[in-house]
Amino acid sequence: MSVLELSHVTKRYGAFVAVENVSFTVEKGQILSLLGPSGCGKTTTLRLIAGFENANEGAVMFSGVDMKGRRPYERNVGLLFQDYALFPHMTVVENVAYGLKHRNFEKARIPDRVAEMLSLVRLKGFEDRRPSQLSGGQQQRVALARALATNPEVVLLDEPLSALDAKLRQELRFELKAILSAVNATTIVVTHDQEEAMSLGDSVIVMSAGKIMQQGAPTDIYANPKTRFVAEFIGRSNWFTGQLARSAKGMAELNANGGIRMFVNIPDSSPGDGAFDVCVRPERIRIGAANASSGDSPVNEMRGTIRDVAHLGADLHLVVEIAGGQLLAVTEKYFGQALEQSGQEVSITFLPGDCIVVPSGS
Amino acid sequence: MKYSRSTALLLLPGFALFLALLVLPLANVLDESFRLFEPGRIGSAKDAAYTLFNYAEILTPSYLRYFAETFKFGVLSSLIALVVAFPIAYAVARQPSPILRKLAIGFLIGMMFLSTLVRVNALQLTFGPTGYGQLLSGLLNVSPNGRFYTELVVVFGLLHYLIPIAAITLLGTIQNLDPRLIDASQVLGASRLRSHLSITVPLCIPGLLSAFMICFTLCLSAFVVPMILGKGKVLFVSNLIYSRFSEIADYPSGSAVAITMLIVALITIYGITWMVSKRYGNLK
Ligand SMILES: Nc1ncnc2c1ncn2[C@@H]1O[C@H](COP(=O)(O)OP(=O)(O)O)[C@@H](O)[C@H]1O
Ligand SMILES: [Mg+2]
Repeated sequence: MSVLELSHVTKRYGAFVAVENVSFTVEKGQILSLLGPSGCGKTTTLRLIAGFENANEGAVMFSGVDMKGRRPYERNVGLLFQDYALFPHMTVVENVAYGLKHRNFEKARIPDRVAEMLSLVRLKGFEDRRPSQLSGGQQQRVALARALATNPEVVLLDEPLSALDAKLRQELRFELKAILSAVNATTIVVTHDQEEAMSLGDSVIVMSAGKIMQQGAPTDIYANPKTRFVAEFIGRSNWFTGQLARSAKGMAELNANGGIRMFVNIPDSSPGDGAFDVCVRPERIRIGAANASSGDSPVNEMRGTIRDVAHLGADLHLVVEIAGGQLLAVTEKYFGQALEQSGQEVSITFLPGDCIVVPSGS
Repeated sequence: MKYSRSTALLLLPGFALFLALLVLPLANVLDESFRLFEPGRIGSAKDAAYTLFNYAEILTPSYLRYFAETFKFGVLSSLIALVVAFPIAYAVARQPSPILRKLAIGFLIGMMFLSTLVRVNALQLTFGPTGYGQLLSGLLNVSPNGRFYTELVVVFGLLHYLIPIAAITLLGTIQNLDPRLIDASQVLGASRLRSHLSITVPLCIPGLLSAFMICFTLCLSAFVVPMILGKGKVLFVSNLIYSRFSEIADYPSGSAVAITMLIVALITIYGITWMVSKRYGNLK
């Protein structure tokens, strides 16, 4: 049985629908990422699970038990707030012990449990500090230790890393994942950062305007987005819009705006004809003439002019202008090669299999 | 800090006013309080001898009673005012509708503009013999003319202006409190009441302390409430000072009582502040 199940949950504030018909399950020890733009209902979903809000429709179930009417203190969830919400008048130890005290954890074992949690988040030696005497990263660890101390059924993390600076965020992301898997926590992590969602989650849900757009493994969502919204939200993308005509088995030809023609792979289940948007990821586009290794499948080849080259360490971000003035983003790995120059004429290639076809305007 | 001449000039009117209206009269009262009083005169003679008699007199039980009474009502009413005002302030601070919140704050501020005489007479009408006095004293099973009922009405009189002031003072403190803290506490297993007791209240100690100080000071200087609602059974130090000055014109004795009251009040307020900041010093 799933540790957590949301079944057709809808939450309205007056006429405004904050969460609409949301259903998903989380298994024991799994990390689920809720990804979506600001205001799409992620926090509201967490608040429904934690019991701060009641769903207008649908059910929230913990291990098959409907939580309807149960207050937050009558459920057992661990919640990490966006701004941590540490108790300012308590020390680190008192903060971590708070949940243990109120959940009637055996009194004599509280100090041991607190020490165990503090060593898990590597905060030994900070026991008697107050939150105001800690750095942002340290506060985040205290909040995590506090949320995990009571062994909650579900751990909810609301934008856990967003308050930290970029470098710290990278380090802590890795550490957070290690800590969660060390205690085998069943976790939902909310974020608007796709890198965070994909690196932390075993499974990713993309939300928009209160609705689930797509759920899947990070690789699956990246490789097979079902809508233009998902494709644009996860990773960078180049778009071609036009009429699709099925040409051979699993293959179609796109007559894109601006007179561009290209071959794309489409699944047999797809209608294959009509208006579609086609996405090509920047790393799938190669600069240079087609080579013979593409087998018998046709290669899409275009002429273009390099408009910009940005060297970002391991990656090169190029902007290439093709026919009709359309600008394409192209990424290459940098391994010491001579860089292309702005203004240089190049030919670019990508395969039909590099193209992702989604319904037009989705 | 270095003062320029213009700064000094700007401070001059305030300083002069402070000297003329506060320091000088206080010095006069202090001087008067050590003078010998001859009954029948109005105040002390110009060249009356200095004496400690006026202060010695205060140590007699009949005088001390006034002090005890004033402090008893002051502490009791201030505490009740805080307990009542805190939930009101909380509800107003957390009111989601801005219109209702502004109305509530406006009402609380409006309450403070009500003249003391109007309040006192309204309470007298309501809880006196012509109002619900019989009913209420009957419910409490006490005599409507007895001491307990009179004391009760005096406390009502004090609360009538203490509660709005306490609520407004606490409003700011509660508004500055992160509502997420109560959410965090509930997720960690504490019920709403326990969350407020272990999170909201300790974090509001500085605000509660200032509200208590304001209420307590207002009680100590209360005059009209005990005079009218106390019906001669409940009298505060202010009433004693008034009777010394106005009824028997014994200025030296009245001055000594006033000076004593000032010193005792200051010591009490500093004492409480010191104790609370020692216990909760980490909050500020
Ligand atoms: N208590 C509330 N009353 C009215 N609207 C709310 C309330 N809470 C959230 N909303 C609205 O619901 C939407 C989703 O909010 P939220 O879940 O916080 O989004 P996010 O995905 O950024 O966490 C927002 O448009 C927000 O304005
Ligand atoms: Mg949010």
